[in-house]
Amino acid sequence: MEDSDSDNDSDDDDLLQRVDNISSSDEDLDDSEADNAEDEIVERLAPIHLGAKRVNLMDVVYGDASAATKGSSKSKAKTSAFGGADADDVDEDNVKSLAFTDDIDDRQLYRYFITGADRSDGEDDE
Amino acid sequence: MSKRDTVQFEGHKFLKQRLVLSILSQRPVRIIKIRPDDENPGLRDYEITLLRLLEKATNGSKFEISHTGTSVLLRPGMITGGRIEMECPVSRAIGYYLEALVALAPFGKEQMTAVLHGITMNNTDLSVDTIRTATLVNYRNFGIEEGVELKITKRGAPPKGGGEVRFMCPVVRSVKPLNFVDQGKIRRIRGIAYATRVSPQTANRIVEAARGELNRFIPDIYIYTDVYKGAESGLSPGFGLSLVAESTTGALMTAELCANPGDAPEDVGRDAAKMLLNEIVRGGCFDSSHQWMALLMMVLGPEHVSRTRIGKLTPFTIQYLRDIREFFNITFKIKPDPETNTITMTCLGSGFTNVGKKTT
Repeated sequence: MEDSDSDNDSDDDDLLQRVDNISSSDEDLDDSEADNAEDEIVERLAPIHLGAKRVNLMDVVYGDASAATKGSSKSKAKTSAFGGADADDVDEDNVKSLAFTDDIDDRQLYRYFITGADRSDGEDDE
Repeated sequence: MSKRDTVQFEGHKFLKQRLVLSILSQRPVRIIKIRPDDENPGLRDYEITLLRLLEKATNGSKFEISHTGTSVLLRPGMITGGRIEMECPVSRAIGYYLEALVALAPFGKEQMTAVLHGITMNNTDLSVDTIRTATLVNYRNFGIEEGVELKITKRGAPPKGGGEVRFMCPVVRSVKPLNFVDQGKIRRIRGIAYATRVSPQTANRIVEAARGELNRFIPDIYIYTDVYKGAESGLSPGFGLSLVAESTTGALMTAELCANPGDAPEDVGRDAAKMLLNEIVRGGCFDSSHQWMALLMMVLGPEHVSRTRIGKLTPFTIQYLRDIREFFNITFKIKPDPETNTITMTCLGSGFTNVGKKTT
């Protein structure tokens, strides 16, 4: 993408400027440029969200296996869409997960469990 | 590409699955650059033991290991099964080796009876309890039911181990295709709180803590206490908890935790329960520890479409899918379901037939 309002012709300077723009707060930026940078980030991140329509898990898993096994930043970002670490982060070939989060809402959990009303055989808990 | 072309990989990661897939697909595999820059380069003791185990479980397999141990070539032979006895090093638990046998044993020439000695539980590999109560039970989805058994004759906690298990598995000519997409709702939770060479009260404290977390969701919880003493208790003290949640459709979700030195039983029980809840939220018909098994058996199924639903793919599973494609040239169709945050996996089986099984 071109940087229209920069007088500096150097690509490196452009890049630095853009990085500054992305990382700094809104007050330092021209509004339109900030919007563009933000749009670009959103565009890049959108496919990694599982719920997004544009995500193609086939590409994520099979698309660029060589890059993924070499641990490119691109593949790392993509595999994080699955909620796990990148495959390269697995030190050994263990399948067991010891991770857990306390953030799960109880109400969210209840829907995974059978309740008295769910029992078709009449064995109510009550 | 011919079927016998050698598949090549780099690095020590995922060594076990690559060797197993090589044997099942009958394609030679070469693994190079195994820890070349490490202070102690090459294969570790547990990897050597795995190679020995695979050599015992097969007939005609040829292993070529370089002088430095940094590369391995496997030309796979036929899976024979039969009686195998192995002393497993304490660097990994027995579960590490059992996972390989679980994948191979049904496709042998004769029933496998494997007696393995070593550590029965740690926090790296699946414990023998989870393998007994979930992994082997998952066989039933593929038509393997009769004669599967895992008997824990001695418990062996890290670091010294001293445990012993006996694994028995019948052989089948082929596995059934899978169509398992309804994960159902969790209807009961079972568990085993084990303790070796510590106070028997430890197991009860683990159970109390775990129930405290789980009881508010479901009343049908039964956690057994399994306390070993004397010769059956191995060489080191230890305790832990293995939990299995079963859904209305037969999906099994597992979580387990083994105590590290200094851990309180209450912490182990509570954390294991939280891990189980996380696994339940992850969803799917197979938990994260058994995604690989479902995918492998689907690939080894007849030439029919197999379908299942799993939760978020683990990094291990992502690599497993890539390796399956390398060895079997089978690609899964992966379809996300944003409503449940699960993924439907579909594939056409390879039509694998166990030609070694006698037809009577």
